[in-house]
Amino acid sequence: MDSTSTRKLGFFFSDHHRWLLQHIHKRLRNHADAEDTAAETFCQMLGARVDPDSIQQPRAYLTVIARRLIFDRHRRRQLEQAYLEHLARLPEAVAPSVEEQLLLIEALVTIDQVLDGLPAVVKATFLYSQLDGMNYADIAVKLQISERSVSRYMKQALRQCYLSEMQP
Amino acid sequence: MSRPALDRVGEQAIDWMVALRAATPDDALLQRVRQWLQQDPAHQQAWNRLEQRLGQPLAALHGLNQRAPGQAAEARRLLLQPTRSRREVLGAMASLGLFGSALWGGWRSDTAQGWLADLHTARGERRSFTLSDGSRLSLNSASAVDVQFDAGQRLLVLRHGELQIQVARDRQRPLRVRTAQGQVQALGTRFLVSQEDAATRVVVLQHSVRVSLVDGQSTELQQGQAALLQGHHIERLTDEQQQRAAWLEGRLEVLDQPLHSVIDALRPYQRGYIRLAPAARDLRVQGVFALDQPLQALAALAEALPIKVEHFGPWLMLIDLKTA
Repeated sequence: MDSTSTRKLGFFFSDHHRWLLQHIHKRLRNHADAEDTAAETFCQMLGARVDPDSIQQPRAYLTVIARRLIFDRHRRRQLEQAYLEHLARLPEAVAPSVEEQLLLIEALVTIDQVLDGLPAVVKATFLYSQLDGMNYADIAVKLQISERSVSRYMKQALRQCYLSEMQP
Repeated sequence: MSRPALDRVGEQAIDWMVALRAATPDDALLQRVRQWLQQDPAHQQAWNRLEQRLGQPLAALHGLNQRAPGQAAEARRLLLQPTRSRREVLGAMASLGLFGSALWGGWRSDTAQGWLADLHTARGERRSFTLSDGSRLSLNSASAVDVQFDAGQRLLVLRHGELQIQVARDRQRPLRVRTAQGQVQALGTRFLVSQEDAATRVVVLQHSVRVSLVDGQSTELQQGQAALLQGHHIERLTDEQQQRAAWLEGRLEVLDQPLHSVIDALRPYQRGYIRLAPAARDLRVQGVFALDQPLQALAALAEALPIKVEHFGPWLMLIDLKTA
């Protein structure tokens, strides 16, 4: 990204930062979280190489991104907590180190983000195949669907994987 | 935001992948996939793109599953827990007033907690206090402590951040520091306690302390020793930790640490948000930096490491690997 557009984004954000922060703060009621989310909103725009001049309704635009981030944050925290609680119950001999725990949570969150929005049965199909290593015939029995549907759902999930952007 | 349409090669890659996953693939199928991949570099590229996205996360979960069978299934179970739509979740949480309280509690509510605590320091501020028993308490930047002293006990609750204490002698009332993971009991001494994301770091600078976890496990640490208190585990740290007290003199001393921990140490001193790209997290760092000049410290890091530091106004900084 060249420096002109970076600078333009910088201006765009100083114009709207105060408003955005207040807006997020109303939802989060916590200043540090709100600051993080506002910054993250900006990072998303940077990552997507958005030209600020092309945005006609900046506040509406920022609201949409910020809303999604707030949701992701909540979902991430939910997953993280549930998984950590689970890992803590593992016998010590096999329990992952703190570093490995971070990696595992990252893995879980990534998969969750990539599959976000797919119907539950499509997610289930994909995860039985990729995580449990089940073949399509077994998945069909398990989920009480046809093998053809299993193939179709796999395709749908893989499509979404293929098209999902790598997170910055 | 609209999504790019799927290209023809991508479509083919997906079809092959679907075929491969159906059952244990036979040689004929493998041979055909191989042929397709070799036909055109674009085929291989599309294949890599498909594998890249989830290859590593899946491998991480499988790795644990090999050690502890059943763990992949557990991950699947968690991922399949029904999630409500975004709108529902946001609405529900806002109406219950849950934001900023229990649900978000542990995340980054430092500021809120700071105002409620007995003693606290602002971002970039370090302060020392003399407690009623004569102990000297020093707080690092953005830290908060509750003081509960009475006839029977001396208890400090570290809400967040980092403290160092020189404990005054009092045989009747032991001094304890409580954190999210457990507690540290002074045995006549000077030590450092730091509340980190999911752990408590304890470094003994003089004499000894007894550290214990919430579940009752405990151990004694002697002068010069250090440990990390985690959920159900006390990890003794073997590398040098004494330099962690350097903040008392306004310095950050780094012997050999990953960049992310150095940035974490600077964060409480820098206003605004510092975002570190994952690719740069684990670069190794050595050196001494002035805590009160975080910008200078970051500039020095940018000179020593293959990173670039970008500023976007006073409230956001991005650190990433320098692109060649």
